[in-house]
Amino acid sequence: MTQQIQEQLSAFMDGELSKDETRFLLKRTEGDTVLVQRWTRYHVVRQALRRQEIVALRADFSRSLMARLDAESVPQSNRTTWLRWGSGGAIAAAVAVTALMVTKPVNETTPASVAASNPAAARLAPVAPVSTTQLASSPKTELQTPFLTPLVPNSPIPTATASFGTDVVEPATFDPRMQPYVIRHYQATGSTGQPDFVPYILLTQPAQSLEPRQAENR
Amino acid sequence: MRKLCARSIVLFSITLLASTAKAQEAAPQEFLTRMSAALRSLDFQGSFIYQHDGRVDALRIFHLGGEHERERLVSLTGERGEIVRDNDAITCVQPGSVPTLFANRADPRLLPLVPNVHALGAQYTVAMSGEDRVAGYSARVLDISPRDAYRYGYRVWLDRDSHLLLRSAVVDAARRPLEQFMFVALDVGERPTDADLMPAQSITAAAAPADEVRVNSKPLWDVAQMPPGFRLVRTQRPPDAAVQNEHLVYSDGVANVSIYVEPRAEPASVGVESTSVRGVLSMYSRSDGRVRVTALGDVPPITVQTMGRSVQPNAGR
Repeated sequence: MTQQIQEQLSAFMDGELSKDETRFLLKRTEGDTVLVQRWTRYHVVRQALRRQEIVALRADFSRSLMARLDAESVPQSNRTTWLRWGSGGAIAAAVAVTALMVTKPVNETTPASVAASNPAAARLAPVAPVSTTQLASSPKTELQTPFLTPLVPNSPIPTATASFGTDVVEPATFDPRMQPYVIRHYQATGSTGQPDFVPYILLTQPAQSLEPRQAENR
Repeated sequence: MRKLCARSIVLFSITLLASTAKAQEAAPQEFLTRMSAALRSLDFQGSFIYQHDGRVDALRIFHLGGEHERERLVSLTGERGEIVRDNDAITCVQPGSVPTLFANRADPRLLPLVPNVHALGAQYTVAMSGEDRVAGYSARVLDISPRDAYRYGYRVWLDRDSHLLLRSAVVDAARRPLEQFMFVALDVGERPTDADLMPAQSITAAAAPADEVRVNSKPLWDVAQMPPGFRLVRTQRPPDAAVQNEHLVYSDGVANVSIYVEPRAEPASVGVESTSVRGVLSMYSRSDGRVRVTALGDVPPITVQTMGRSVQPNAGR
């Protein structure tokens, strides 16, 4: 898979890919299993980051999306930037809606390993959300169970509880790209004889930046 | 003459007893060993508060000791969550999520901030620090102090009779507590019922994360400036990652640091370096355009910075 295709896939997941490029990408998935696998992983990672229930993409999801694209009638030239973004978001949302029709996952990679091995995939956030209640009410199949529960919070969590209200601390932002590293760290050190409890507590903890020397430009 | 001999024997006995008692108190490491055994073998149940990263949580724990340990930890504040342990398998139940199963965990424990006392090396000293009372129990207080600034220390409170851990705090070089937990109510010897050890809702399905692949060959990357006492204990790789990606785990026996090295497919023009902390966890990341290095662990920021900045290709490869 070329770097260009990877960038297109990332842009698509961010809802920033144009309609023509989206068509090209969808066409490409028909004969590129590696691309489909990566797409599926990104999809699972995004759901994990949003703490949504993990569901798999349908095998023919690209055809469904292509049909949705064909049904759209708004000319590309009349769109503003935010409209294009919105269109992209709608496409990405369609992926999520399509995913509600659960079928067999493309590969057996679990979200934990996916998230751990693809920290950059944490950038795949700004897409139209799918309500968790909608997901929860979706029909479950045995194919859902092999997936890992979403571990990464979607947004910073307040760092003080009501029962000890005097020590209120401003919620800090935690870079979600670091979370997979934290999970992998405690999985590894847990097996070297260290207590395993801490990771579960840390999963809900935000971080405070000490000295960001330079704004990340990625 | 006979009286003199008797007095000498009494004096000798008193001196011997005193020196024996002194020797017992002079072996704080032994108390830590007993603590570790008590945590495994005793039945207990109680509630404790856990202060970490600017927040305080209240939790309840049930522990069934013995050959086949079982534990259950329930959060009493915030969202209801619980962790159930059946010997070496841990199931984490969070609201609205599929339970997560961590199977075959080595020496798992649900109490937080328990130092690995079996691996205390030359980088730490152990000393008695006094006496206190916790949750109504008389306690011995011990300090596990680091010899340098590359690791944190512990202060632990142990029940005088059962040696159970009643309170523990991770402290920095200035002895300031960074995280701590403390029992507020505890019943030692109170055997939990089966219902106490079962999750509130029956678990019909759970998901298990994939473990990383162990790499047995010599690692591709190395840390040039290693803080004293740390050594490489394992090299791993995510199951679907490129061969050049490595996860190096370093440990001094108590503190652990993970180094992740990920060469970039496309060189970037802008270098990035950042450090952040979350409770006792310090995280460092840098990218020089060709490779991204991430270092993290329950150590002071200086440790992950020192190690992360000195990552280089292994000269022996």
